[in-house]
Amino acid sequence: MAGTATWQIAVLGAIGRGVLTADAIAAHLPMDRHSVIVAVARLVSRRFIDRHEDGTFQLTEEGRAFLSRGEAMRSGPRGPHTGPRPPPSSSFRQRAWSAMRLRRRFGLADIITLAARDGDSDPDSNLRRWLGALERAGYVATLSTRAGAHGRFSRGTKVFRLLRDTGPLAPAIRQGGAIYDHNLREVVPCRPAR
Amino acid sequence: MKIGFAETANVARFHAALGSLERRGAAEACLMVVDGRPGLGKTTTLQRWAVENEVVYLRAKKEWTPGWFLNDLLDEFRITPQHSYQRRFAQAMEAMLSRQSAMARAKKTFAVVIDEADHISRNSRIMESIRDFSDLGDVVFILVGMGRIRENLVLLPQVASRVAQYVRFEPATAADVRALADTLCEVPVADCLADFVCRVTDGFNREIVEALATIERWGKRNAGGELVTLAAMAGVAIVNDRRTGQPIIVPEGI
Repeated sequence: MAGTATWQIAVLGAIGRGVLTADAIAAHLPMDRHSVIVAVARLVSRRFIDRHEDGTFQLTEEGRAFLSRGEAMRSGPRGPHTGPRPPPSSSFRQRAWSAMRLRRRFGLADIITLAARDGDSDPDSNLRRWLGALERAGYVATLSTRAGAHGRFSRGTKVFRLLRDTGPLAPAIRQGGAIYDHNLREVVPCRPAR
Repeated sequence: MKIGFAETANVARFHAALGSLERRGAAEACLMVVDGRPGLGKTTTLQRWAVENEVVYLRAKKEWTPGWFLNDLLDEFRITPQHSYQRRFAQAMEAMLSRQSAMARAKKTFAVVIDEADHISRNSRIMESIRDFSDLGDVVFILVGMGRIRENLVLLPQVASRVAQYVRFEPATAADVRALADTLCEVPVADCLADFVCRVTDGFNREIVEALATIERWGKRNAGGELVTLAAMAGVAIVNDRRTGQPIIVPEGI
């Protein structure tokens, strides 16, 4: 989340019209040397300061203009993310979604067998809640057949089928109950639970 | 039955082979063959690994052609295939290399798993395409089948020479049945009964799980959740014989 780039503003102000080394900036400000190095690296990437060969720093035209305007500086992203994205995180629901895409027709036990790991807390109820929401949003459907009804009085367990495979990223439940599909980058309405 | 995944000797062998594949000497030798008779847990093991590692998982079809193979591969990446084979090959290669570098940043191995690979192991056109991907991009391909892949690859020595690891899934041992019983069964199973299950099922996971389900039902009803022994289950049909389809009865007087 973007915050106020306090250190960068302080370093920018400390350099001002001068030409300073990182040590001189650290001596001038109540910051340790490592924090100064981090701040100047970010200011260089913003093109607000230049680094000279002798290790000194000086404001660029852009930096001087920014300082004179007195604007607030934010520490967050400065443009859209256009580079390659890392693979999805290995959360239980992400693994469960991958398992659903592999199996297409599945029961709860199939998905937990493939997706659950030692550190997962209560994967059974987690999956039940999530599957309920996915079903209400039209991603999965419950089939009329039931699996594992071995005993005389056993009703077996539900069998599901994946209906909407929109991509590799697992849909997430939003506050208020709607589903956010990271593949489509859109909110999918979800029928209220009975 | 409890829900879980038992780490059997076959699973350990598969993971050991993966480790060896990652440490291989020849970069172009990045094919792996996993085979064994049906019901030994190949698909579950591979799918569990695929889910963990976000690898591409394809199921070969009997009538697969190189074009159909590329279409299925591109579909996994949500890429609309172009018309010519040449362009589709380039699309697939670019997508795989992009995913491979993303996975490398996350310290994971990217691979393409092809299940039911017996269907394609004699199809030199598809196997040569796999070899091209493997040679040009060092993409790891794992071919999973029921035992005919090794024999069929003899006819394609240029592909067989790229196979860095062979893993054969063997019938479960007594220790594997013990691990399965401890992981899946809600009632404690005596060693004598676990050994009997191992013997009569010939070590096939599917039959072992069926037998454990029978033991659990019987144990809950008749033993009150206490240790179920072989002698206690005498006369009970524990599982059907895979070859004959006839029920196997636990013998009396053991």
